[in-house]
Amino acid sequence: MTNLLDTLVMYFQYPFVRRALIVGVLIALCASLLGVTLVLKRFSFIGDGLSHVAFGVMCVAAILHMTNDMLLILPVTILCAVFLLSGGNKVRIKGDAAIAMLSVSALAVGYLLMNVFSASANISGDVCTTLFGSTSILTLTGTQVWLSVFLSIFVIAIYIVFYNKIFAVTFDETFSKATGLKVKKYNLLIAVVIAVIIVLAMKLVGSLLISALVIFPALSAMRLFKNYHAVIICSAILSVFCTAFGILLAVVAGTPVGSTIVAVDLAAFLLAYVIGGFRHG
Amino acid sequence: MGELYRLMMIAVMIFGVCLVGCSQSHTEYVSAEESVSLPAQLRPMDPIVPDMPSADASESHTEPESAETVPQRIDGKQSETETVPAKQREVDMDFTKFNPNMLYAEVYHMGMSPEDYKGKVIKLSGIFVHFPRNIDKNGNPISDEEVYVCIISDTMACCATGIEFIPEKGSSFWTEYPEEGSKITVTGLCDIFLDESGCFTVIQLDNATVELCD
Repeated sequence: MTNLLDTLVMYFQYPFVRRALIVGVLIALCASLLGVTLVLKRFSFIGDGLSHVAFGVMCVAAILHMTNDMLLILPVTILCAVFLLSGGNKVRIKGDAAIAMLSVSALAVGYLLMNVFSASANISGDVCTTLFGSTSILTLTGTQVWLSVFLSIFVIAIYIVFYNKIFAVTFDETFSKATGLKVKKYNLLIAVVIAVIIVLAMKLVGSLLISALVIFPALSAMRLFKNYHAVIICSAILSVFCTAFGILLAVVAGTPVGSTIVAVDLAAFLLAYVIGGFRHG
Repeated sequence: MGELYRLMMIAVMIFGVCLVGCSQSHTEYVSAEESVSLPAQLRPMDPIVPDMPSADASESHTEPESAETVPQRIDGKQSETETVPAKQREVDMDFTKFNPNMLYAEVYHMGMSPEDYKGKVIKLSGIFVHFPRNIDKNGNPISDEEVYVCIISDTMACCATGIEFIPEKGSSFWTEYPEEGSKITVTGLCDIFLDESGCFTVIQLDNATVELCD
């Protein structure tokens, strides 16, 4: 145990570890807040879809040798999120079909372009760390850290300010519309915020594992509590704790950060499932 | 309850921003646009190393001529790091205790924020690789000079980076170095300078001692 603590203290001397922990916790907090909304609106897989779109755009940005790929990834991902979530009944391809179509197309085309117009000597490494987030959270530059912090603060502030509206739109859109709430506008806001979270979360757990960061804390909290307020708070606490623990475990054990965080989230969900079973019979 | 919750969340945000601010207080990071290049080990450069007269024509590397000089940088300036061999100084950063993922991240950050490591004695382990310093357009070596690199990869070996080292003068390494692919431990002084184009930052370990790992 002493050795473990000594190792942790040793690693914590390095700023990139501290930065990874802070940014990781902020991203996890943002993801957990919107995760409850997504699960309740039956859009759990939107995280996967948007992350694959973001991966495809990242490949294009790499080919174009863009210094800051966020300039391309963020707007395109937001556009896709708006298309998927705010399309309503007018679109011909709806729901999971639209997500699946966009998701696999972006993934395949992105990887194809990266192979044809390779911009790096280590394509497999670039792809591996982007898809699974093995070390991406540990290799953040100063600019990326500040951008992540500000975007996280933006997401949390939006959620706090529009909490009641998001709650109404999540549970009963029809009633909300009838009471005069601008449902389209808030759906659009949710879409934009989700896109921002997905782009941030790619750095933490990679493209393929983002859904876990969004879904697991929400499902675990729903297993333990039935009140929306309590679910939100529990989801946030669980997500922050699991992410922090996952990062520390990955740092000490030398495991990929993204997978470790998801494994811890899974363990927390299983535990919550058992506890929920005892509590609610 | 709603107000309390909102206040709590805002407090968390402010706390987070303060933490980020504190974590950066004692280090200054050179922005990526100012200093980053590809890791130096993958960019052959042209140091002005005096050729050693060699009785054996098959020798493929050169050793610095004078006992007092360190290999000169391609910009012709004297290295700003000390000339005391690294083994006589205390190790400032020992990365041999790091697991592969953390070591990869640390060496990555050496490329991102090189000023934080300049003048420090660094010890790390990796795989030994060497290649000709100057090659023609067909990939054939132009001179006998070689680049010696310690390659670091993460646990899955899908991501790799590395750092060039210059063995210390008089070291047996110049006449007999390990097989390519051997695991080595390198201890050297971190030196940073601009390459001949003046655009890219080069990072290398000077006066390095090299040990073969078991």
